[in-house]
Amino acid sequence: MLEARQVNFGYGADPLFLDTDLTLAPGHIHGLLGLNGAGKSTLLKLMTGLLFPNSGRIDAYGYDPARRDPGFLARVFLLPEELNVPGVTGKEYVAVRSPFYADFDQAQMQRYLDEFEIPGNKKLTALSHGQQKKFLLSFGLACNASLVLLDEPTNGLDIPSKGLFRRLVAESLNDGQAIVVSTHQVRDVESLVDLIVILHEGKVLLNHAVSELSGNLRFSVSGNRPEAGDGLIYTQLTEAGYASVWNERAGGEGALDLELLFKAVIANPGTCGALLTTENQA
Amino acid sequence: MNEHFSLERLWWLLRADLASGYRSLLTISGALAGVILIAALISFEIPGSGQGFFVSWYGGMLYIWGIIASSRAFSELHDKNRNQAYLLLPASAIEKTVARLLAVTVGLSVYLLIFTTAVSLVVAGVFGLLPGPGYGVFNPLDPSIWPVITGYLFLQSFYFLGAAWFRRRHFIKTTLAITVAGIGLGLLAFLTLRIVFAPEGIADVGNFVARALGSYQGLLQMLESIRTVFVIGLPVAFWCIAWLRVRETQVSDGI
Repeated sequence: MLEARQVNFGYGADPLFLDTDLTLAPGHIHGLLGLNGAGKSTLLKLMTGLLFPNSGRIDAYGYDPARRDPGFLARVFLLPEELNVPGVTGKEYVAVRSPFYADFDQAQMQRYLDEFEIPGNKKLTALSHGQQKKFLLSFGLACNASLVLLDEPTNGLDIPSKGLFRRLVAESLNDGQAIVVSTHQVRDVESLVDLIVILHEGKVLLNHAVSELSGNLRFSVSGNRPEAGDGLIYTQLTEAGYASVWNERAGGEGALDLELLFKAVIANPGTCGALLTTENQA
Repeated sequence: MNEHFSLERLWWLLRADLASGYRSLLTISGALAGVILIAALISFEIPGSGQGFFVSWYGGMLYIWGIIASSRAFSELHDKNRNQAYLLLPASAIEKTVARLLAVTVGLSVYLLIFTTAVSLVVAGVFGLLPGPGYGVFNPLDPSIWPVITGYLFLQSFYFLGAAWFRRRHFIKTTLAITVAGIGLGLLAFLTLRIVFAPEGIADVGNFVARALGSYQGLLQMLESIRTVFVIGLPVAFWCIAWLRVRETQVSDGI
């Protein structure tokens, strides 16, 4: 369980988070969505102790991340967006890093490497960006950390690898583990995440289970522009017609569309806030 | 789990550093071995007097290599591409600091002793093939080694702190800081003496010191004690400050 309460943070004089609250429940895969510059990566860094909040409190599995205690660091894994691997082979990397993680599973690691078709005896610096990402992702999942934070994990992955990524992440999840996938490529993780966190202008606008969102909202695509009112929250012209988000009383029948939901929440934070509380209901 | 210090984690850190750095270590060592061999062959040292030759080489290598290594001890800490992985490695700040400190002090000193001994054996072997007396073998337990090592430990502590403190150009900035601090302390001492000896003038300082040493038997011992405390205390203080700096570093410190 990770809880952030009244967190304030900014770079220099510019505030990024103002009294931000967030709860991440174990046993779930959270999709962290936000516009460019919304602070997704910064939030991940605050959660891992790479940055310290100016004020407020973060509690991650009983630890204060800013102290960077070894016990906490052994329970957290962050896959950064920008990779920088050392000039060692995959086997060497695993040999020297894995002892730090008490729950590291060598067999699991080998299985992931086999599935991703990553050679273990090649220097990491000689691998392509996508291969490096798959290697580090394999290592991170094999660590069986309690908090796994993936920053734009699908960037640089080819199409088959994206599918494989979703399967392996879903398979690796256990009851005590919280996985956070921070991305702006919502299509890549739509079928993976079961909790949605939307970050906008320093606030968590939404933190809800997909099942709850599906129960409370309706999505539709129509040829004609829908009339305002009657539960319409948001509409947008797409190549397929007018894609709309409605409240539960309306008659839309489409499945949850994360991209549309994201746009609706960003465009109407007040309206969505009225329909859904911002606290995690999972 | 001990959240502050664990010998096991310290060993893992040292092993990780060695795994990523041993190729450079071997490359530099190979190059140095070649240079020493050539220097021994063309030097004007009297055969059999190799100890002085190798002590000089040992001191030179320790100071130059050690100071450069100390200046780069925390290079990842201020590198925005590498500091995340370093800071997130599950070990405490004190373990990370001690690991780097051991590597550039005890580790390097001992490694160079072994390395110099090995090279001296090779040199002795080469000289054994040549006519005339042989070239002495380096004795790593020679008492003349200790002042070299203690002097290095004192000096490296400045650069070790500089490595943790400054975000870039650690060596240059530390050297400048030492120079500025030296000039500042010199000026302070000069002004103090000017004030103390205002009636007679600064030229009388020599006489005063001679009189004081003659009058107070314990003064010399006291000055020696202060020097010892300074030589031991300052490095320890610098190493501790470096640890605090590592503990407080955030990724936003990367450039």
